[in-house]
Amino acid sequence: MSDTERLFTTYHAALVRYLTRRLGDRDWAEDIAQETFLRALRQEHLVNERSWLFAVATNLVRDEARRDIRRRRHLELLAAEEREAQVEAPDVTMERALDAADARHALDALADRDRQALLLREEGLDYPEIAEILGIAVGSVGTTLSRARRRLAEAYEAQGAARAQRGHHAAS
Amino acid sequence: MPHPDEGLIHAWLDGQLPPDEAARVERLVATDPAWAEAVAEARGLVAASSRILAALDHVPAGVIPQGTASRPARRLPWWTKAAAAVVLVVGGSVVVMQRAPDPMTTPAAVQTPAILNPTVIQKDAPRAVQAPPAIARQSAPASIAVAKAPRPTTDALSKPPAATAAVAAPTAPAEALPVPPPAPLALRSAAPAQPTDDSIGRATLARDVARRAKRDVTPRETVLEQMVVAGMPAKKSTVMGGVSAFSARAGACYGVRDANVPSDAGVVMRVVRTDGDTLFLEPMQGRTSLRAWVIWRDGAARGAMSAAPDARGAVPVVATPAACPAP
Repeated sequence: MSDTERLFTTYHAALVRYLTRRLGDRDWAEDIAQETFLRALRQEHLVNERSWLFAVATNLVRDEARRDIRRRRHLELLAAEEREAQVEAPDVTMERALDAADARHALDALADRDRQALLLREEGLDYPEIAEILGIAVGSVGTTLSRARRRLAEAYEAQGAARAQRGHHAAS
Repeated sequence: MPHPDEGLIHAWLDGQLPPDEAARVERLVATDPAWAEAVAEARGLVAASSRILAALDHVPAGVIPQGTASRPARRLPWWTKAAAAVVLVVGGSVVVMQRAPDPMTTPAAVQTPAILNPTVIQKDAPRAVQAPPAIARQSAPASIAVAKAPRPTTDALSKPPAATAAVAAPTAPAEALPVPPPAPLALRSAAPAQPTDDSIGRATLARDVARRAKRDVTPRETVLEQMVVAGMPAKKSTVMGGVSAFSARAGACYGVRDANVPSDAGVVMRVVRTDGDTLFLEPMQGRTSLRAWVIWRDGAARGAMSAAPDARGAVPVVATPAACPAP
């Protein structure tokens, strides 16, 4: 197996999952992942592959988020179409969709740094790697993660509670 | 007793503290109820976070209109994917095959539709990354009860994070990510860089995704696909940048050696034909059953060589232009 193939096989799934969670769009995530691997191919040496790949992907997301307003509008349009099409979905699918929507809202409620730290940690990056990617001290990663996890859980619970409240009002 | 430090506790649960610091936290957790309670809560938060994030991996089925779920810009012409497969071979794949049709003689007849059909690739690609993280599956409670997180037993608390990682912390990635090797990774040849064609690389990656989504392929099968595609006619060449008229023409000679054995003296082979980017070589003398096929890029010609008619037992080779021996 070549270096290229090994790199791709080892990290592609994790990178795409990280990006999908970050962006909420699998196609977009695949694009960013592709671009990340292409950049890796242009490197002669990578000392820490995983850290490098996630750092580049994170930076690409930042860059795109700044400049690609048009794509975001496209995604908003897709989301609107999805909502319109979501008429008679099976219960399980609906439940999952709502769960995912709550999770998305909760994640979006986090500060960017907290969100990044959380997603990177979920993909198994260690504290020094996370610190390097986010440009923060290693000693502050634990605090960042503890805050992120608490806020995520609280925001998720708040979403669920708000939805239950809306359902209650609709029923009465 | 110091007040519980939440950041420190999360670092401990994540197994990210140095041994002495971890031991200190462990003692505090074992002896101070406030620390024990804080750890219990932190465990709940860690598990809850993993479960919440795993929910983002579920793409609702049947609620997104088919026509809008993917972007048209991702459609690629078939030849791009074929050329992309060629690039993989150039990248110096370790070629170990058991069954492969001889690309010298049967290039196109055995091409799999999935390689050539862009629709299949586009359709199947997302499935490659669908699996939710294992940690999420392990620790997925029905609801998120942050305040009601069960307090672990003293036994559990006193264990180091590594022993309780399965429930406590997502220390392991969803798919086991190996520790990167300490040695620098050489991804490209050190030769002067040729202009990079990103579309080729993109297609390569897209094809890799599709291939892995399509079925579980063994490295041998992967190589087989590459080899088969490498033998197919490439109608449009985009990776010929480094090839010279001298080295590409039929009749030119190359010294071909095992890519994994730098000391290998190799064998001089003659280019018997060219097909797109691919040069097909046969030995000048001696083992006439030898066949090699290489692609020139970035100052080196790389490919595979086999002595068997069905390309079984092919080895990766590097070829360099050489003077043809006198007849």
